[in-house]
Amino acid sequence: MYNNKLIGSLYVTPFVIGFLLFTAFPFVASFILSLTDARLQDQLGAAQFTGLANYTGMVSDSTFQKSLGVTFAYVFITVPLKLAFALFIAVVLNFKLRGIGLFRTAFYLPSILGGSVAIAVVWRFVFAGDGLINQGLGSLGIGGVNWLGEPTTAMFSIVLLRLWQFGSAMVVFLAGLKAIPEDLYEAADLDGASRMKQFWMITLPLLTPVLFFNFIMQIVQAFQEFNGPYIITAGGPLKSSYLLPLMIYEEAFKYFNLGYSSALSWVLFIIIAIFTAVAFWSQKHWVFYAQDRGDDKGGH
Amino acid sequence: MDAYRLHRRTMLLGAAAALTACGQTSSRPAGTKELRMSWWGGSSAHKATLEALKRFEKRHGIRVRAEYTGFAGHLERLTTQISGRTAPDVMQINWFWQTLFSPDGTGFLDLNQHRDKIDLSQFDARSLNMGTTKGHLNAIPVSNAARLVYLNQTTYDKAGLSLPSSWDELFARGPQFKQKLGDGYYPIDGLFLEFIGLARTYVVQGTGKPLISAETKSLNCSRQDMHDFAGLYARMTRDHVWPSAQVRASYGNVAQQEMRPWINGQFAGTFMWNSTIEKYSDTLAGNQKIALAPYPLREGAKDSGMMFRPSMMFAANATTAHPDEAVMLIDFLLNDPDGVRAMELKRGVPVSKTARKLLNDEGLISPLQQASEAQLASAQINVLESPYFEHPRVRDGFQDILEALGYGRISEQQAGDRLFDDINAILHRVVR
Repeated sequence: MYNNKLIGSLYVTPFVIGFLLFTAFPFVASFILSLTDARLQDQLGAAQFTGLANYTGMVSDSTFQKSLGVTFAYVFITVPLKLAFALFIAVVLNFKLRGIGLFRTAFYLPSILGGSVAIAVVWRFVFAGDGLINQGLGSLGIGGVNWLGEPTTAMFSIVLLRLWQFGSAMVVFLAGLKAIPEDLYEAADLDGASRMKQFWMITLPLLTPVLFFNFIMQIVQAFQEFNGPYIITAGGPLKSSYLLPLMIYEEAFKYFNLGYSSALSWVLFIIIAIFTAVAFWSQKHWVFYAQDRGDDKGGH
Repeated sequence: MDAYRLHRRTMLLGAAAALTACGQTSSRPAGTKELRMSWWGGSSAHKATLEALKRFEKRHGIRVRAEYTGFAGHLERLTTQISGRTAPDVMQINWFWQTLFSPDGTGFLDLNQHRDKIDLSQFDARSLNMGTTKGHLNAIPVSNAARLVYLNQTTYDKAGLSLPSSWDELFARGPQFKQKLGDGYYPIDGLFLEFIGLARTYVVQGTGKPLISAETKSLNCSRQDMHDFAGLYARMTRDHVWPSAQVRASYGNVAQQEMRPWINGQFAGTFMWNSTIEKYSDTLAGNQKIALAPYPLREGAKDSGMMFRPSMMFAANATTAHPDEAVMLIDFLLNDPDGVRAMELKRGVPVSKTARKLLNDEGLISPLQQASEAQLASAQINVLESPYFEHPRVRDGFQDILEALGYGRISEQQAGDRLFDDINAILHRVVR
């Protein structure tokens, strides 16, 4: 028994060390730094304690306010769109069709490629003034669009980069769809319910746990988006795609304001925590878990 | 149970091996001194520097560990090292970084204290001044750089136009380009950063003073000068001399030399550092040629306003355990024929007189580099700009206002006022 405990402890040690060093320590350190005027190029000992000055300073920081607004817009646009699109594709791919495995793989591919640096570079090429899309439009005799050069369309290009990575959410939806018992649909068929009615009355309610999971994951990821704006637009034009993670990076590594950057990180953390907490609190009103069904308690 | 025993034995052996590996020291012979040197650059600079370090090792029997990267992320890495007291013994730094790491002159080794190990007579006083902070010689320029006007001779020939030799001629080229070559052609181009450098030159030619004064923590010019600054941007973009903010942004966040209009000669010029212009001419398609244009001067200019500074410098760690050896390495790379031959021109035309003569005698300096050097030598450069002009916060301050002007969010008048008020406010915050 003693041996088992020792071996178990040794197995988890790398994780514990990694967690303490690369998650817990920076987490605590960033909070302490957020209460100082620490600059990246100075010795940490030179930093002065400034209390909540970094936090109160955000109230009058127009760049922060702009960035916050842009970040909320980005999250509120991408999360519902991505969830809806992922669910739609999952429903389609749930049909029993010939070669459906191939389609599932094909639709999942963009998520494997993800929002990596290489894809962001490709995205920049595709949406550039002389890029692939405008060349295509030109060949059809349609005038090009200044995708990256106008604030609205630049944001749209970044949003689209996130949308095309719908595969992981789709796979989770697909797993959820597979878990819905067939007999419910058979019963609904017998009662004459249309496909649409079956979707709204059976599929969607039984998918809410999966929807809830996807919602939380997408919210967290969207708030942390960095690659797209950093590589494609550098946050421009006119800071129209200057998301909060990009501002945090620039404050720390371009302007060297480690204290302010840490405070911004904590604000982002709190925002994500609030969204997650509200989602968890609200789930009792809209998420339908299997054990809530009375018939599950006695079995079939 | 046996399986567990086996697992446990394997794991303990593994852990022991890992701990041993962690505790291992380098295999160099006891007593051999070892230095660390860091730099950024491209692969050809890496190769040349590694060769020079090998020659230094052979000559002096001192091992040098090389730490090299591309430019992206190098400052962040060095900053972390300096902050954590793990910086290398010898470092390649940017001129501006002196204000970050050594505002009082003590952040780097004072090379004046090791004059017997380096031949400082090879460097002119102006160059040494640019590496001196409060009497401490912190860094020595490897090469000097100035922003000069480089134009695509091929495109100008195609338009049947001569290279402009004055501001007025440059302004006139905009409509001429549009008329002769079409909407997509511009006589000069660059990021906001380049335009800010160009407009600074324009203002400094009028004032005869640096744009920024670190002493007063403010702009060293009048509000009207900032109106002229904004007016220059409005005029040049309106008259098709410089691509508008919208046109430039349409290509996304991409380096100028990687943009298709630059590559195919539609954006037919730039206001670029002479030390990096080869990087720009390299990407031109076909047989297009870059030429150095005459430096534009305002009527009655008090100074050329040329933005002149070291392109990069070598400095030694203030807390190095081997200060003499670190200085010897710097001297070897900058002055010693062996080191100079290995380094070639990968960091621009050297400032060191002996290195420059050697490379010139061996015919290694290109005609474009020679022309740039000649223009630099003949220009009246009495005004040396404050390093704070290159502070990222200051640069971004200029950029944000010009961008707002370019997108029509503010008027030319408002842009001039904001340049004066906002940049002064930023300077008060960042100058320490």
